[in-house]
Amino acid sequence: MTLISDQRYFDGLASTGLWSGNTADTIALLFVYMPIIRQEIYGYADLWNAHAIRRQAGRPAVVPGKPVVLYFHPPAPTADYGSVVPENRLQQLLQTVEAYEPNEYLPTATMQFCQNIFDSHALELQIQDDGGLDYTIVIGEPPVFLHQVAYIFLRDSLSQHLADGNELPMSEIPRGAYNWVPPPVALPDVDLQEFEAGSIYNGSDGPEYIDWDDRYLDGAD
Amino acid sequence: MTTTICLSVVSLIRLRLALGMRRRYDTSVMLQHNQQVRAVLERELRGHSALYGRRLTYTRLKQLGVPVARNRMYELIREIDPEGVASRQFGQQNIVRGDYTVAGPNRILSVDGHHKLSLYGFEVYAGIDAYSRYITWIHVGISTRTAIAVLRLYLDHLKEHGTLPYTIRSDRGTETHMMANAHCQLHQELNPNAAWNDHYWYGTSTANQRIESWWRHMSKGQTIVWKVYIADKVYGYD
Repeated sequence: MTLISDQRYFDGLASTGLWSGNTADTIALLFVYMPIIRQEIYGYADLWNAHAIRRQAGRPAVVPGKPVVLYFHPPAPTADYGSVVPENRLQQLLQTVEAYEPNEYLPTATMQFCQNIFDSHALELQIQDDGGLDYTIVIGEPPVFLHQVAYIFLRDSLSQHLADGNELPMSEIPRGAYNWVPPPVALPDVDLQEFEAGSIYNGSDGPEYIDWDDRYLDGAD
Repeated sequence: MTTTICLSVVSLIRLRLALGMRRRYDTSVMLQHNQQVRAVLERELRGHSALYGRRLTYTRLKQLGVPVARNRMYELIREIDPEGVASRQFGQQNIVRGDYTVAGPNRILSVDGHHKLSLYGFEVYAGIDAYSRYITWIHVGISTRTAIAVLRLYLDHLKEHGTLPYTIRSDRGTETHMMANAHCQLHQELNPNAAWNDHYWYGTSTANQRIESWWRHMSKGQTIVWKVYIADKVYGYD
């Protein structure tokens, strides 16, 4: 397996003109491959969490064991540093961003349009009961992945649809953090004189300054 | 995931026997079982597991409910896929890494986005617990490069997970400042004197060792396959 460099990939796309933002191939790529890539990457994370990390002779600092076991049941006397999330505050914060739906990758109308194209060819594309593709299926001679056939088919159908002067909406990227208004904070009561005397901090001789250089050295790499 | 099951040793032995898991086997049974494992391995190696090392493959077999002794499985992999084993030898760790010690779980959550697939519209964001290397939070979507998206993802993660990590460690990306704000506000709710510096650490991306190292594992196991596949097959098809 060779890794194709981004540069070479860009060159290829530029010369063939296959990638240009809001076009049929963007929609088709998302519609066909997002469920597959999600399943693969989430599956890989589950596998990683369950696999055993080895003890290493030259690296005594490495904690051996399975991530899932180490996380939920750390060996004594290791303490858990987590705290319970304050539910009220979490709800307040969530309300400020509830308009954004992170799992959406295409708007409902576009999803439905693509799904209709798939459903109209359910037999050829071997559409599963849940409306998706089985991405392990290989068809034809020479053998081709079914999802590849589905992608080309969908892309061509969408190009035709868009060429006829129709429009398909895309999901919006949630920009505008600049205008975001955070929920009001209840400020702690601070005695200004006490603050200046430094007794609000742990050290008694003035405010404790943190050596940021030390903070950044949390992993020699 | 964290259910506690009380079980006596005898019941455990009985359960294992019912599943056909014995300590010793007759040679003929062993050969037959080898055939079954070989069939599963061949199917897995055709998929994306071809890039997994033997320990991940071993865990994968356990997930599929195929019990097999580790050494026997290693032998089978070497028989079935000698080229794959040889190619993975070059991936052996030859970078000298420094010591990285963390006090315990939820002490540091190391977060970052992975953008090797962004070109095609797929963006990944994940958080890894620095002590246990447990992936507490992972998301694949079309947008993990805006502050609002990352804030929403983090809050959703907290809602589902219920545990607030002590410190978040990230690089100085423009997408992190709202998450940092929200994280510190949640800590101030618990302790009004909570210091920002204690609960959020900004630093260089290269020193954010845990997550960056995990991206390397994930790229080797998963995303390179897709990147090469989409670039080569999909766009080379016409």
